[in-house]
Amino acid sequence: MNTFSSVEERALCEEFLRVGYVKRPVERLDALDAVLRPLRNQLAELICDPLPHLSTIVIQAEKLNDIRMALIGSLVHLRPLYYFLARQTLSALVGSELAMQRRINLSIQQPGDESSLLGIHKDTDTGDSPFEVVLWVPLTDCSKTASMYFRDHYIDIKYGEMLIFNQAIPHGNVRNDEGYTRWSLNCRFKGLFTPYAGKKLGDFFEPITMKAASMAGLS
Amino acid sequence: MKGYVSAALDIPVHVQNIVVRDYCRRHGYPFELSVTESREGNSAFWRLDKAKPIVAYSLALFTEAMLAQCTEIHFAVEDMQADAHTPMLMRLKRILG
Repeated sequence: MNTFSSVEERALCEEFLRVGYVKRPVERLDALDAVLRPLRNQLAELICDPLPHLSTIVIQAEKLNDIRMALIGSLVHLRPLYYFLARQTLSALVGSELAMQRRINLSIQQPGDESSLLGIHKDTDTGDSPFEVVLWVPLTDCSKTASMYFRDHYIDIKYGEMLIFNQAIPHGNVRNDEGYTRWSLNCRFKGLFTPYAGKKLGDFFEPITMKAASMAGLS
Repeated sequence: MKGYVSAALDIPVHVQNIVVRDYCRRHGYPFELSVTESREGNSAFWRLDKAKPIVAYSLALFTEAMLAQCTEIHFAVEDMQADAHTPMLMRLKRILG
């Protein structure tokens, strides 16, 4: 089926299908820095200035979700930068005409915090289309219980790397016992013209790379 | 901003109103009590004053012809104000479901 794909694209697709995810350096480190900078600035205004390294920050449990939601609201404007972190890899794995989630989610996993856990799950069991992938980007180095896991193993991943994963593969996180806070971003992408499930075009997804022929066809 | 909800949807009207009011609150818009569309058609829409801003529960309530009548229209579920791209989005939704 992938006869016309390049050798590199075929290898990437085979790895994604075999393992359930691919881990790569982000394609634009400057874009990642540009996502992190305003997030840090806003966080400094919300909690303390100067702001220490993200991994050392511990926010009071009762304030955690309000701060998280405030930051998620600001991340909406950074979606083009977020897409550029993985533009070529997404093109190879998902397609050239893409729909992107309208919000970038932010996860903050503080040491010992059990209020933000997502046990083992498959998003496709709860209304997500199997045609979606998740672009998961850590803002702090993380490993073992501070990270997320797939099936039976944790992902060791550093700032500057990204994970693109298949939501149909069992994954989750456990209580972070590593002594530092993990910050990560995630956002879903899918082929614009692939089937939608519970998360619809318009309210959840937005076309981001529609081509001229499709626009002409819709006109 | 005048609310616009519909009895033709599966979502209860009072839930649609909660979503519409929340949209106005989050964006700092004044909210004016919604009109409720009947199950049968869109007669309530045609009685609305289109010169005033409208906030509808969802894009799903609208056709392109209705959109063209409005001066300013917002969609609460989609968390958006209609712009030049909205007709294209409506066509996409129509073919993709």
